[in-house]
Amino acid sequence: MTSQQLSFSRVDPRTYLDLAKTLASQSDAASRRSAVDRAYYAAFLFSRDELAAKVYITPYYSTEDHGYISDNLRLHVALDIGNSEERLRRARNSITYNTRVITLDLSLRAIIDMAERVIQAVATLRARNQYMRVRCGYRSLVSLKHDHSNRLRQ
Amino acid sequence: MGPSRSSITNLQFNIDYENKESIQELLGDVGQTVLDKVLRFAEALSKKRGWPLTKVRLQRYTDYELPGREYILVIMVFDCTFDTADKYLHEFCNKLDLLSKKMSDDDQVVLRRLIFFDIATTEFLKG
Repeated sequence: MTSQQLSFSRVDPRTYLDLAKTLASQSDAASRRSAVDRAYYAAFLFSRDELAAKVYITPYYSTEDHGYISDNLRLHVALDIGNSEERLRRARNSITYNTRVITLDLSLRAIIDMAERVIQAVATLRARNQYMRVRCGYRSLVSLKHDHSNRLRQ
Repeated sequence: MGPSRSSITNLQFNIDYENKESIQELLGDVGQTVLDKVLRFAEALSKKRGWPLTKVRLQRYTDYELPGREYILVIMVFDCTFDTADKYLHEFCNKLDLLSKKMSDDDQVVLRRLIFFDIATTEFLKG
């Protein structure tokens, strides 16, 4: 009996945005809808990994990260950036779970622009210094994550 | 109903509530006060900049994929193209970010977690 393995190589989430652009240039519904999904995941996953690498957050690596990242983008990057990431999420939620006709006051270009803006802002964010984290940041990070968990449980 | 709740209605643009009681329930008194400040700031900025802000829609948004994640969605309705309205929203958020630094810690937490913003155009709503 032969065994089978399915493995994936490491992915840079920004390549999802390249894929989103390719999909957005197609005319069929499946490609255009998938473009929105990929644009959101490019912004979300890049933000999660960068905020973690720059010592701003400790991800859950689960669905809880969606709200957690949005809140932390607003806290550590900019209100506008966290708001844009959440706009992408709402668009993605509308499109992914609904197979009927959907009309949004948005364009695919605007969605891709938003994802690019989020990625650029997070990429240029300075890493939090470890000393600062221990001195004054770690407690607030723990507190934010704790509050976030409590809110999800409510 | 306290004074902070009724004061939200005294603005120069119309506010459409999608289930007002549900919105007030989620915000609580502190959230109502923060929303009031945010809407007054939107009014002042749009007046100063001459933005065609015609009304604001308030919705209680639930993320069905994330149980417990709910917030108030403030949809600013502009009488202009989507691209122009989008620029106004980014400017509004950036200015609000600066204003939020002067808010109390509690108000900042409410703003960050419970109030999100989006846009719509009058043309889209007509269609």
